[in-house]
Amino acid sequence: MNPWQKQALTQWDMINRMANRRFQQASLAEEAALFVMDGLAADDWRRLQAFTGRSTLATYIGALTIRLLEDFARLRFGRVRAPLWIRRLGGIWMSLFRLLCLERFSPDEAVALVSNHHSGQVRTTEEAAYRILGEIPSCGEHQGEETAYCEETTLPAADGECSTQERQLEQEERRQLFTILGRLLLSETGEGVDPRLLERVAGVGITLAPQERLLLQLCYRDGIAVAEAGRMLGLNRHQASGRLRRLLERLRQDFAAAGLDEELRLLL
Amino acid sequence: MATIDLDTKKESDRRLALLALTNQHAEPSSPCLDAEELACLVEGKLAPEKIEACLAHLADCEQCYATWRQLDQEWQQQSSGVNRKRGMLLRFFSRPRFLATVGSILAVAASIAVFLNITMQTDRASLQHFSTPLTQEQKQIAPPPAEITSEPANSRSRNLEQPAAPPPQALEERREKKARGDRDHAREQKTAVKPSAMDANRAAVRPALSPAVSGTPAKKSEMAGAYKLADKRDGASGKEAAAPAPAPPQQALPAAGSLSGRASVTGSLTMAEWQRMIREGCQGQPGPKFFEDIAVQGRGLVARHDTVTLTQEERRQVSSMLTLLADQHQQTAVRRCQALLALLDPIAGNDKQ
Repeated sequence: MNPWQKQALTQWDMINRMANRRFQQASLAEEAALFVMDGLAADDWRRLQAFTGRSTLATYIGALTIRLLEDFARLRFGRVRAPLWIRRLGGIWMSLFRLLCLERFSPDEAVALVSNHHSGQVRTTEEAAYRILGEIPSCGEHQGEETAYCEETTLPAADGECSTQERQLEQEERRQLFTILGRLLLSETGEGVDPRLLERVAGVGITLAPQERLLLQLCYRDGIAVAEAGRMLGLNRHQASGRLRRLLERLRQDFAAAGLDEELRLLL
Repeated sequence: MATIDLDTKKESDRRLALLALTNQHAEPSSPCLDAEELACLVEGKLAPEKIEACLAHLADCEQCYATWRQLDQEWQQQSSGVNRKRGMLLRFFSRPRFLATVGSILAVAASIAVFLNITMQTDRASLQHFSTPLTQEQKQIAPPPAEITSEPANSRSRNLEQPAAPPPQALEERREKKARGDRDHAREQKTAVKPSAMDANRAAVRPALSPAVSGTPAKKSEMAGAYKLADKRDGASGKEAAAPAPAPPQQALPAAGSLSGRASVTGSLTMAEWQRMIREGCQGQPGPKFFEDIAVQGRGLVARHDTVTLTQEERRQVSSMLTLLADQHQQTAVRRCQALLALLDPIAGNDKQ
């Protein structure tokens, strides 16, 4: 037996578990796990032979498995371009959109799957799932079409300037973004926010370092505890809390410096 | 009220963060992370500068971000399973109660160690104080001054180590065993069932083999001569060993000063051996038999007419001692011994010179 095959088989339980977590249906999960094994064995275990030993083999195979499972999902369910506001929000929004609108899971299943994958708050995930279903009435209509995933199928970047239709489409997407964002931000009041107000607020040039951005994403978009987010970023509990507190304070100061005190008071 | 304020604050922070995040959108400028980089990042095995680059990419790339989060969760589950036992142990050992118990035990152990140390030091100090009167007692028990001064220096220190001065017979027996080794020890066991004549024979030789008891340390030649003599006598008395009536064990080692047995008297002793015999006998409770034996040996010495064995002065001294032995039949044994030793000392002094 090939030594790489032996190594891969020792991780079979992990691969199976990850496939079951990714796809609720047992048959689909089994098929996905076999797809992963085939992907690992491709080209005489090329992916495993690229392993240099810097990390543990189990974690390395885990990373390969996650990517191969996504390849399997795209192969099975195809690809759909998410709306701009979903892409801007990212994180669990993208995962929920894919599960709900592409793989056609029920909201509860999608929430359970996202909660299995991401260690955030379930309440945050539920709210996001029902918000997607409310904002995208056509969610789940284009499902079940098997398409072969190929990088060449993605459209190449257009040369030259965007056409007028594309510009209009982009403006429409931005308007939709701030409209939905306004609803998201002020959902408790039930009142929408003027998109122009939000656009002005969002237009303020705020620069965030990658670590600061990830900290905000993890804590406020995906609902992860501050200590856990800090651990993922290599910070301890106190460092993460202090950095987050200082970051929020700086954001308020930046918005105030841009002359948006009144808008910020209305929004927050 | 405070809870509502806290919730309001949290919600306000969340909105502020989402507003800031919607303002930040950039396409990833670097290529996606490979599987091993992600694995190293999750396991914390990347260099700090590499971590910064990876986090910068993760902040811009939603796909890698999603993979990173899933992989981190998977790795956490795996490592938590492995580290659960270790974590339980760590938690147990880091409990305040456990630490307090361990601290108390260590404090008690330290107290006991300090107590024992102090006690042992005190004991040593008291032992040093006790050792001085002990040596004084030993000096009182020890033989006469003439004999003490003639002893080797190390014998005195050996006496200090011994808790109490053993009786001369036991000391003599022990030293004889050490000197003669296993061969003689086996012979002693044999003599325990042999007739008393042979035991008496060996007892007559024994003083010559004990340099510590005698006035001067035995020279090698003297010791060798004594061994030969003892062997010869053992051989001579071998015939008597076949005697039907074995001596009782108590008679196997005769008391000091009672030189019983005619065989020892008939032998030819040197002057030094004769003197030692007198000194040895006078230390204990000598009986009339002892004085008779000394007289016979002295007469034998004088009768040999050997100028090598005896000088003129020694011959005179022996003659005067024989006269003393012959004349003072009515005196006590102690007085006779004192008189003999008084005559013996000048000769011993000449021997030393």
